[in-house]
Amino acid sequence: MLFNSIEFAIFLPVLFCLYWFVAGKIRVQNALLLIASYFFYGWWDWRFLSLIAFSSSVDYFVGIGLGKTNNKAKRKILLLISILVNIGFLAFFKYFDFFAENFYKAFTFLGQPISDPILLNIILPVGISFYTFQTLSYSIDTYRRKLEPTKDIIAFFAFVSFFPQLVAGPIERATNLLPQFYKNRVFKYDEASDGMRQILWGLFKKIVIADNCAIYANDIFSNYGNYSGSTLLLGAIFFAFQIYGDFSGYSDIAIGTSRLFGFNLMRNFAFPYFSRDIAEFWRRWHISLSTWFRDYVYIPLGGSRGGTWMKVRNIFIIFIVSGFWHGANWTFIAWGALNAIYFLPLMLLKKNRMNTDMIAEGRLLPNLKETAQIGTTFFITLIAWVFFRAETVSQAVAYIFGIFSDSLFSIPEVFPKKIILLIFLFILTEWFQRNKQHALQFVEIKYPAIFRWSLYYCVVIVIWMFGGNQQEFIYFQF
Amino acid sequence: MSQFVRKIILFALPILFFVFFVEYIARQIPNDYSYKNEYLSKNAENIEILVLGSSHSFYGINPDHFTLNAFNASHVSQSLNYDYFIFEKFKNNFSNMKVLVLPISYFTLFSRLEDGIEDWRVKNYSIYYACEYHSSLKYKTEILNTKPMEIGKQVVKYLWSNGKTKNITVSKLGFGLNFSNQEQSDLIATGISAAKRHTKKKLNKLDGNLELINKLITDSSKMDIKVFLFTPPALSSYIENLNTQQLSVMQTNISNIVKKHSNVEYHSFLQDDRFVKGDFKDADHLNGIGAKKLTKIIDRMINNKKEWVAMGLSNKNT
Repeated sequence: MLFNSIEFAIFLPVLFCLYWFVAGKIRVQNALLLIASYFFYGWWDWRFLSLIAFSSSVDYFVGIGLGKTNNKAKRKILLLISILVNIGFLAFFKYFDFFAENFYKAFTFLGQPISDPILLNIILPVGISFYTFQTLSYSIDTYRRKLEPTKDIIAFFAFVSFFPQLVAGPIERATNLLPQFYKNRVFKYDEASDGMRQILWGLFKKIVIADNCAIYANDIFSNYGNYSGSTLLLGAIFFAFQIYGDFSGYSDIAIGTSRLFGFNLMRNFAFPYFSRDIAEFWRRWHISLSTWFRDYVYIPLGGSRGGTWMKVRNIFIIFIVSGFWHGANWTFIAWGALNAIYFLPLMLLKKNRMNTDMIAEGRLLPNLKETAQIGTTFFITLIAWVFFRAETVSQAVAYIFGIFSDSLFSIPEVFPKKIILLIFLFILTEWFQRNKQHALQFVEIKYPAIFRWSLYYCVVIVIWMFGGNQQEFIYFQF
Repeated sequence: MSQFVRKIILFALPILFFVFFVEYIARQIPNDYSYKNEYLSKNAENIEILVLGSSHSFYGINPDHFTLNAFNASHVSQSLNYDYFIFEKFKNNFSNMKVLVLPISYFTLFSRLEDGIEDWRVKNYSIYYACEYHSSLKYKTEILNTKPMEIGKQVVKYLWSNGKTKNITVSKLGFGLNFSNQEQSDLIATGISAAKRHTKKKLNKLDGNLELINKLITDSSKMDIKVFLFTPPALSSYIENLNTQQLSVMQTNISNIVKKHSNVEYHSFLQDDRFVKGDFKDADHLNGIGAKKLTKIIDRMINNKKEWVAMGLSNKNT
């Protein structure tokens, strides 16, 4: 079920009423959320439900096992079971064909041809990369004794399948989300109304920004050989806003929806395109994934401790694994490696934590230096996005060469003024609200109701008037 | 909680009212689909030749030039499942029907309306033909399928004219008129783009479409209706850019269908040199002149088909 669908517009209010009708009965509320989440997920394909149920069961019993034993070896085996099952699912459904094909190519290249690879060609279950990481965080944190294993099977299953963030995150930590399932949820007016505003803003980002940019990005990337450098650059910009609008829009809707049910999810995006360097960008982009990799991969590998080579190795590992997490294609690996290359100088010069505050704090506009920094960071991110969007690495390289051709300074063949104006207004709104959790948040100044309501109606009208053709959320495929 | 719900309802009510109002008015505006559905409901028993299919017959077959009473029930991008639906819906009333004319274009056997960028047209069958193929609201509403500016303009125009505005672009007998008074498009560029658009990456719709076409022919046979299949004419800029494999699969399957059913006649006009550039609106669509030419040729072919005459067509023709 898509957030931007009629089905969801019916599903959400019905569930909301039922949920608060049984307020105070935590177990009933959890059971209701569990049923609703399975219904929400099964709407795509009910067969996928068995996977999530199996994954949840394994981690639930691993947790129980970890709670019962202090034996180090047994605890390690239990953790290994959880890792093998979850990563095994991912490997099988997402990466099997990739490895089979590449082994075949490698052997053929080395003059040792083997028989044609057996490809599974199976459909990737929606959101598998998200919920396997979420449930893994439970096993790892329980193993590390950061979290008491739960005996409440309903709460645990509801935690793994919690519908707002099930298919595209934020990837929640068990330490943050699971305890919320044990507590009595009280309806808070301010939380719920701000949640509604966040949903509205998320819908705007998805339907107006992402879906409109998708039309032009798809066209330009599909026919990149026929376009000038300036058009290709514009195509990359459209994709940058498509993926941002799409993914952060989804996160906003997910967080806003959760707030309607009394849950607080972690922030996933913090206006990343206003970053002054790539390190800041990665602190603001897909925060839940970056921190997941930091806590469960980077730090166990030694993090930034140790010698230079160890730092370099760890940076490359984390970025490449993060790229590979997005999809079984060399393009994602190249995207990850490129980001590692961007990040490395900052890391080695110990300048990766230079920009931890909000840009132009207390000022209306950024100064010249900050503007140049934002521009540079956005530009290098843009180049990396070309790899992310392209079908193959060679296509990405050709696309980038196409950008830096003589025609870079020509007038673009594609120049949709309406979309460019919408993007400009979008950036402007986000800039002025950059200190908030989302662009429609009004916390410090209580604007008159007529102003607020007019603004909401304006957003609704803009969504209706300028909404692009409905597209699936990009991150569903991951 | 109650304050929150009250405010949400208050906020949503004007939106819901607006949505229902626009949807209601938009449905009142007569269009090609409502017109054809109404025509078929009232006149099905008088129809002797029924034309189905996509834009290739919508703009390519003008029923005015048939000798028998004909009606064109095709629509732009209409795929075989909707051809079948229309035939089945009215078949009990087709008491005088003698020939069913159906184009088999390069893409016909491999596409469904629901799969392409034209899927917004599905709602026309749900709303105006009462087709129950889909339960999703996406396929059942005007407001979710029409561009806001366009629907807004239509609604205002309709209200302004006191309900007299029509959105009908077909002749009395269902022939698409838009191409008859439009300038010719770039014949090279449209050929390349149409061929690309009509070439499918996967031919996975073939089996389902073959099943539909066989059912359509079998049902026609039971009603003693002949089926005239044809591949419409096109220009070289289109033909040269077609995928030979897809074309060959299409031709093989059509040959099999013709062999299998005795009430079927097939003719390909794809490279017919009787059609010249002046007959085309674009590389794969005829204009009014071309449509007249094609209809007259098909009419002669139907009337000259000896076996069909022997099977009673001549009697019905008089």
